[in-house]
Amino acid sequence: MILRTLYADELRGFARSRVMIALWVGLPLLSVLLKLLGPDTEGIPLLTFVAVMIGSIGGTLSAVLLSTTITGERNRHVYDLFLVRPVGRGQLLVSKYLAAISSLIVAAVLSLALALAVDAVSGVPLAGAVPRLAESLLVSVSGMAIASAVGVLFGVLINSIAVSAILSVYLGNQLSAVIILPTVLVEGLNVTLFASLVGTTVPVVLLLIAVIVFRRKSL
Amino acid sequence: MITFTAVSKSYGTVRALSDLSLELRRGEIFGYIGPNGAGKTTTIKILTGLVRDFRGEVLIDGVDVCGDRGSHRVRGEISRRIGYLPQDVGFQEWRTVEHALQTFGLLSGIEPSQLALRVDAALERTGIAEHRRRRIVHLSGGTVQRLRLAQAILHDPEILVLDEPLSGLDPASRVDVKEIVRELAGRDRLVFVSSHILSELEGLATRIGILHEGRIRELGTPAELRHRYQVGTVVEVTGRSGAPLEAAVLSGRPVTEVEGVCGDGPTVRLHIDPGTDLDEAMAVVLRRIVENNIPVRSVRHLQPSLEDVYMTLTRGGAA
Repeated sequence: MILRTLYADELRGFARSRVMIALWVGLPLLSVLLKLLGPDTEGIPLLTFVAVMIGSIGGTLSAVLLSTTITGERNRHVYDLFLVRPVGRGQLLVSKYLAAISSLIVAAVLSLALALAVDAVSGVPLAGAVPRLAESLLVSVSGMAIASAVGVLFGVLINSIAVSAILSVYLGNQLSAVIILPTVLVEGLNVTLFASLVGTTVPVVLLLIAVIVFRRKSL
Repeated sequence: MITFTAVSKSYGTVRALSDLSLELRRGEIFGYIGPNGAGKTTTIKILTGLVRDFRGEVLIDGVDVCGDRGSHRVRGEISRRIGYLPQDVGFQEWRTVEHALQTFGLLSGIEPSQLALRVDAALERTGIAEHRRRRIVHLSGGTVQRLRLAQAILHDPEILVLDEPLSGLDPASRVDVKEIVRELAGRDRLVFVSSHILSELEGLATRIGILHEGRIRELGTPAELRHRYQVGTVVEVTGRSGAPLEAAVLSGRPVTEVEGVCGDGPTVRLHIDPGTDLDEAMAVVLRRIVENNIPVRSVRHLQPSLEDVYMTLTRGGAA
């Protein structure tokens, strides 16, 4: 009940502060534009390119969003009014994380759907496109899940919003690549299994560390 | 209702609270006074469960605020009973007044079917109903402080904990907030209110604890504190301009001290023995003025203040 209330509250916050619109419109457009402008991506289907792009850009955006939001709200003592109620510190962090991931999944679906449409118009054969779409989505979401968890951890650890943002850009981006690059570079890799495994275990571990640190922090 | 027993808390090498023991009763307005950094907010954070790593014990009607290591059940029980107005707490930028209260109401365990009624009542009671659809970032400081109070009384708590509730408020808002506090205490609630300005709580608090450097230095009703520190009656006599005021002839029982005051004309303050009746003392002073033919412009009774007690204690005058 508490987690559901917090999650709905966070989603409403993303909607009211126009984060959702920025993600849902900006990310698909950016991915397609980068493909059209990028001379080095000749030959790669747009669907694959977009999967890589949104895993990287979306993950970085989410990491920055979460880390700066959490750092800022801690500094302004926003959480005091939640924590004097039967709300756990872990619930606060997890609800933010889930809301960010949900918003990103919608952005990823929209981006990949747009890429599929552009591929279809460009004459790329559509046979096998749906399984490829599902696989691309899984890779993207896994990358974003890791980057978002990094954002939560930095938000809890770092007291300066600027430092929090900078580190999230550096490491959020790099860690997204950990999951995306092998799926692109390693021949014969079971992409679905690899992405599912890494995309769930790494965020869970990072979130656990964040919750433990947050519980020990003085407010 | 609330019992602090030997509570101590340090932040690194800084001792915020030392062996604090205190008992608070239902129906009272307890004024918790101390200079900035005395340990008031730390005490409040311990009481509300925001700080859990302290030594000692805090019980609310026998329930340990850190029982079961601050488990969900205990925190649920405590939070239902406490309404908390923190000092300088922020709200997320995107929230409207109404939305903030709806969220905090749900998290406080108010039934969804009752939520709208409770939110309306809190908005009306704190006088911010007209701002209900406005974003909090666009509100004045005084209105935000009223919103903080609204979220604290939303679930009709038995205990209201207010950390510097009058800071940043205009005079009209101060009167309103004090009225709400009196009304709650009148309904057999306990109000725990902190301030670093004693005069803010004069006439409001039914009992006062003065905290200094992490220790309770004095505890009692306002009348008890005045009597204990002999902050008794003071009569101020202002002489005619240009005429010397022969203050020495005004001394002697029940006047314990004659204090010169800088002002427009010659002025002295006569400190009256706290055990003396005011009317009797005034009669003695007036008789001396007449008998000695002292040229005076005014004689007035000064309202005794607890500020002197506070200053004495916080400047290290207490044992």
